[in-house]
Amino acid sequence: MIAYNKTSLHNKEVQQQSTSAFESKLISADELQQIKAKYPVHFYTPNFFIRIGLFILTGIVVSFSFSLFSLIFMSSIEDAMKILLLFFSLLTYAALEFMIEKNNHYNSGVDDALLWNSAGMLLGSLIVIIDSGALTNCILTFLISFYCSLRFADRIMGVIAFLSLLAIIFFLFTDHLGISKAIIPFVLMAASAAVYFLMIRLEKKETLKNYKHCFTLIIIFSLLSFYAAGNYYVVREVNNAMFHLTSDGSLPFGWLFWVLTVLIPILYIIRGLLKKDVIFLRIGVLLIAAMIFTIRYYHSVLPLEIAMTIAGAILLILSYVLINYLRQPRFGFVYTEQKGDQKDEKSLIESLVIVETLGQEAKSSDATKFGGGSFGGGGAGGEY
Amino acid sequence: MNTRLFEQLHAEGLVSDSSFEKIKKDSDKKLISLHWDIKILLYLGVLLLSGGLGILIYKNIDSIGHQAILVFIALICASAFFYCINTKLPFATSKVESPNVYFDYVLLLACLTFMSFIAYLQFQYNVFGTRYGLATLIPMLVLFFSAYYFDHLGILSLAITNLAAWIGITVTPSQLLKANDFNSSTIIYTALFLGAFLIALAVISKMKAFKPHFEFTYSNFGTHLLFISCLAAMFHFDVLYLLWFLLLIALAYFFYTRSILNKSFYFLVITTLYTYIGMGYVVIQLLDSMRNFGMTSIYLGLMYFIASGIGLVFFLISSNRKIKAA
Repeated sequence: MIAYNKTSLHNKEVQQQSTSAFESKLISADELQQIKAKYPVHFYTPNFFIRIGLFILTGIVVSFSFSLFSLIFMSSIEDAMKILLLFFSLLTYAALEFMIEKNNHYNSGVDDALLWNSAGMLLGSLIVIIDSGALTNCILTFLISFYCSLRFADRIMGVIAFLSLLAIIFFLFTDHLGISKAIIPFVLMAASAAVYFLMIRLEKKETLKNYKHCFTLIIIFSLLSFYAAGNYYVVREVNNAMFHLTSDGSLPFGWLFWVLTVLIPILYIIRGLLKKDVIFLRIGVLLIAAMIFTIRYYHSVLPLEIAMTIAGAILLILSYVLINYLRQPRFGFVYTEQKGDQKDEKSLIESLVIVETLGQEAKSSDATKFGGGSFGGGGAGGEY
Repeated sequence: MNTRLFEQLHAEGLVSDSSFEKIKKDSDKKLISLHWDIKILLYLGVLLLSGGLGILIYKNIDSIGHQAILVFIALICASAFFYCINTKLPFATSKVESPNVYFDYVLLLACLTFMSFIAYLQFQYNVFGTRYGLATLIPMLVLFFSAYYFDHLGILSLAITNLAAWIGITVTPSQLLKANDFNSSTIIYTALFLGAFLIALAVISKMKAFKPHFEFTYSNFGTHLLFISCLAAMFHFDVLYLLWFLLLIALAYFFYTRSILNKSFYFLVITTLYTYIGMGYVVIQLLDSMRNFGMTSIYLGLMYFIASGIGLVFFLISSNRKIKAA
């Protein structure tokens, strides 16, 4: 089913595991060399930045080729756009299969761009040609993204398949089945949970190991959608925007959703700590923030600045305590960096984040308060 | 770690007995590092606290009074600097690790409060009068000094943005294009000059081995500035655009050889993309000048973009190989 060469996929896994074992000083350089020689990878996978560059350039080539085609055909055939889009999407798909089969491209940027362009154009043309309702569009999206995730093991395609599945369920229940709209949140929660349990079972299957990263990302999104489906803010706003269940905009069984809003993040964190599951832990912390925003949105307990100050202080104290506590490994968690973390790269990113978040303040204080600056306002004047 | 995989490798004789023992032991204890998670929390805490306090002071300025606030800021700044000077490791021209986890954040706090202090003085009491340059020059010098003295990449980036602000442009990554008016020739020349200056600093840092790890930060700001201002010059100075295009080609050549030499994929890609934009502009201009060809020139243009796009894909692929082999 998968388009990429399976032996190379397996060997890539072997090489990655061995390299990380080498970085943790578990195996020697000699052993690593031997393993790499025995398990060669024939993929073309360039550096991450080259991948971005190739992605952009391939996208440009595809879109200009499409413009050229449509320019040639537009003059002769009226209303040719839809068919042309469909035809071009198939052409792009053929190019994608060719690049993978003959040139061994694997996550090179070229195959990514071809995949996304082809799938996007196919979806666009089908939606225009069939032209009927949200449910149909969601089903089309699901079919295309499901096929793409099966064939190319693309993790974002997998997530889109999952999300479009949820959307299908949502539209089925709202538009087509005569069931009470009030149970939709629970249906979506049940669907997320079902997908979650399915994914953790599939993740363990040795035969499906090439899809492992797809499963992981879908698991993350199913945890998020499970929370979102029961979150008070989401449920209430969607209700008010789409169904108008109550006249005053309040939510029936509101207390139940408040319980879910508060409880789920806490349960995630507890589970993360008990099972040493980093995914649960990180999502739990993220959702605590979502929980706080939800509560603040409806019950403005404190003015924003005081809330910020207190939250900042709590976070600082918390991290101080955690750092000191986790200097020694405790319960399987530790603060010290693990080997193989690209420390230099991360500190470079950190420095850019600092300018992005704090440099702004510095600049604006200079610019607004000190007028045109020392530059005589030649160009600075109009902008600030 | 997948022990089953290593079992197999062990059976094939690729992994020795002692290594396999180590792997088994390692997978048993399974430690999870929360280093970056806690760092993000710490950073968020700093952002929230400083933001919250800032608004708090701003809203209550009538009851607190300016002098009290100034003293408060000065106290924070002074004690933070005091802490940094006392705990820092001895200065070296190579990379100096920070002595503990909090050092970087305290230093950041010190520098930020110093900047607010100067800005506040100028805003409220007009200390520097109309010599506006001075009010940005002082924080900038302090920032550069701190970046080198305490060895902090974030402060260095702040210093560079301040240097740019001092001479009149904005260089934070997301604002570089948005906040600058590249339709003014003054801005273009300034940006060109600053970019060249930063690249020179990058080269010198590396050559003299004086804080060589600062090179990337200087290069990053410098490269983007040079390319963007050169492209802006092409668009702005209508008639002379071919002359500026020559400069762009020269820049592209310079950065290409440099990225191969430094094995930097990042600079290779941005050089390629900026050059692609410049070449595309020249081709459009040329095709535009032969308007009487009608549709033919549009077809030619589209074909150019397709061909050159494919060409650059191959160029990137081969350059990638070159860097890997080097």
